Amino acid sequence: MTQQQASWLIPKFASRYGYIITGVLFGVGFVFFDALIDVMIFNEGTLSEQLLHPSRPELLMRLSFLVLACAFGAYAFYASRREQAALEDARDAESRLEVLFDSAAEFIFLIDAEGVILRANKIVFEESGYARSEMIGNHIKTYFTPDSRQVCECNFPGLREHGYNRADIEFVRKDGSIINMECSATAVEDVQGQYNSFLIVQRDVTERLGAARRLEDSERRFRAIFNSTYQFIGLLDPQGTLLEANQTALDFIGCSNHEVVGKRFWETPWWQHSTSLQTRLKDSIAEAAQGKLVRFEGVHVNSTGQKLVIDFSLKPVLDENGKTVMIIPEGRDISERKLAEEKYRQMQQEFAHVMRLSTMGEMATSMAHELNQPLTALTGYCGTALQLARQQTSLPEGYLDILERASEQAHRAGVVIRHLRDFVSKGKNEMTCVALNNLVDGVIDFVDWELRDSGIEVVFHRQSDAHEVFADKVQIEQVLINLVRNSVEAIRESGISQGKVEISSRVAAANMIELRVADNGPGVSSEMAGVLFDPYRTSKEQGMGMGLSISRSIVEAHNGSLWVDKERQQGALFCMQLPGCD
Amino acid sequence: MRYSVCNFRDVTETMPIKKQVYLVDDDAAICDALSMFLESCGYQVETFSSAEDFLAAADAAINGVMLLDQRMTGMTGLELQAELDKRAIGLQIIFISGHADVRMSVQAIKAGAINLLEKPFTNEELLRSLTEAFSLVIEKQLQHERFDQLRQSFCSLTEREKEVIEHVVAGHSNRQLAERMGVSDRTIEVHRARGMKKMGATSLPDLVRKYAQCQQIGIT
Repeated sequence: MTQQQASWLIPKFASRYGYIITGVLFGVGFVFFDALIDVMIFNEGTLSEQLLHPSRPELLMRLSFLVLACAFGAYAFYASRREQAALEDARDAESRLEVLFDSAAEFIFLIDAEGVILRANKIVFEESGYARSEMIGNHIKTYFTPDSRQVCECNFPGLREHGYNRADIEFVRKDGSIINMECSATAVEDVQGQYNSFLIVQRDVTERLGAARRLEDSERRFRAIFNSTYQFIGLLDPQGTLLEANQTALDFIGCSNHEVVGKRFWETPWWQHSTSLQTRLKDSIAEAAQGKLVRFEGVHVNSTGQKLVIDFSLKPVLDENGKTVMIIPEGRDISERKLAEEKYRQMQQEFAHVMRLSTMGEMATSMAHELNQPLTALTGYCGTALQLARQQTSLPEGYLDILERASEQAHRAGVVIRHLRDFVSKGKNEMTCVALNNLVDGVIDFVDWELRDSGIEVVFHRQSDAHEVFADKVQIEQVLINLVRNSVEAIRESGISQGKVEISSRVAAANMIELRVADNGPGVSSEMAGVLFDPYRTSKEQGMGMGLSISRSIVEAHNGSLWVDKERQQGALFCMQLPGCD
Repeated sequence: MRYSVCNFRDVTETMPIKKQVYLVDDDAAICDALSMFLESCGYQVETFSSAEDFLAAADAAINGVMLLDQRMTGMTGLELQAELDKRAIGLQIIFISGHADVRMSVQAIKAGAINLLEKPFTNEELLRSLTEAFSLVIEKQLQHERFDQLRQSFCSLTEREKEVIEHVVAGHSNRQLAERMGVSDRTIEVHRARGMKKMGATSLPDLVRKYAQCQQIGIT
């Protein structure tokens, strides 16, 4: 480059100073021209002889000057013509560059080493809304957001060093709106090889960035769901290698992602506590790889050693050809549901047990009563027979003894029955002070299971002052459940749409607490009301007719009473009085 | 023979009293058997198949012992007992029950029942309870007669005699009485002697006791 410039020095010099030199040369030549004429006109001999004549050296010198002047003039003319052409070429290129510069879709700035804008292309002014005068001479950072200024400052040293740099910046328009731009800066080298100006090209990437950000957002949202869901979710390849596991699943075993990803799923800590589950999982993955949905329940141990029941499923993800490309393993902790189910089952068992005991007790009681009547009569008849026999003088041997034994056996039968009845009805009575509110809540919890979707509402008008009754909680619960169930069944059978069972309590006279169960069902008919509490009486097709009879027995065993309100016009009202706990 | 059925020695045998038993039970066989047996033992038995039947037939003058079943259709035994009490029908009641729980027994006894027999009871138990009941019937009758006599005696006193006896019982001396009533000691002495004779009192303590009884039954 330097070499090239040097070789141009002479022509450049010639083009600029050539004519002056030519003039001087001619001037010098002409000063001595007259002498030359003199020689040519007045002297004899040929011109060449005279010119080369040793006594007249000035003649040759004069001639040389003239020739030199002519030659130099010609060269100078050539050189100036050339430079003219070169200048025109450069001007053309410049204007072409200018057009290019202004027609570029990108923002192009020329800045000096400090960052002051020297030039900017047309689109900058069009897009930014600033006038040329508002921009030129200002620092380019003026037009960036604070964040971008910082980015700019961080990148400037690098730019100075390497001559090139790029960054994403946010450009602020005059109206305050922001354009996301990808900015690349190239240093412009000067003659000394210093970077004293930079060309900045900025491209509007708002669109591209928006798309990328949307993708990022969507990914983040998906991650949030994936990781924070209550379910355990993962991703397997069809061979059973774990590709991903969500945070919930990882927390369950207290592992981090990299400890499990890439392993065979059945070899991960989720499954290590049970070889049978591992085998099952292995088989299930093979099945899922065939495109089947597999689901099973298993007991798993979490990182704190707690045993939980997990409902586990493997769902295959198929491609358009129906080939399994991924398997999604999913687990739900159903321990609580299991527990609730278990509790419900236990309650039902307990209920059945109490019911059975009560039924047996009631049957024994009613049987005892029914049998004791004829036995009493039998004893009486035997007594009469003995009396009559004793008045006779001639009786067969042992006749009186036989009558006495018959009487004795009748009595014995009575004792046997009494023992049986005592045994059955004794049960385990655990009389304690029971808070009525808790008792009713428990009952409502229990029947709620059965009332789902029935449209029947059970309402408890809770008393603020906590009534307490002295009772065997389980037995009174059974009575209340029985009453509520009766109401519910009556409502159901009658097909009343907005069934309602209301439970309330109040203090009745003489330290008795009264519990009332009212419904809006069909009520109790007057002929049924009289025999409602007798055993084996029922209006239900499948009833044994023991419920109310047993209930009354239970309540009476508590020194309480149970009756149906015969005055009530609409629906049925059952009242139960129990001794309070004072 | 391990035991004889009817040979209980008791006051009732020596007394000229009608041994009336009212049997209330809704079981026909029991009514039949027990009435037959009791009649063979010398009791007079009247049977009723319900409490309501009995109430329809009963009046305040009846006397005797009632064998009462607790568990009956309609009115229960305890309810009948309360009703009798309300109507002031003074019967001795023995409950006979198919199943007697403690609560029911306590309630019955509290309300004045003599006993509670659990079916099936032995004939012996029945007779023993009846004997006990009738001794109470007789005692009550005797007391009743005593009170009648007392009432008659008291009513035969003149106003003056009543006044004098009242003061005597209150512990006043003859002189104090005489001064207060403005009569002579002698007059008081005569009234007092006549009054004591009419009341059948042999001594001052006897008079005081009889007067107290009169107060008890509300004659004075």
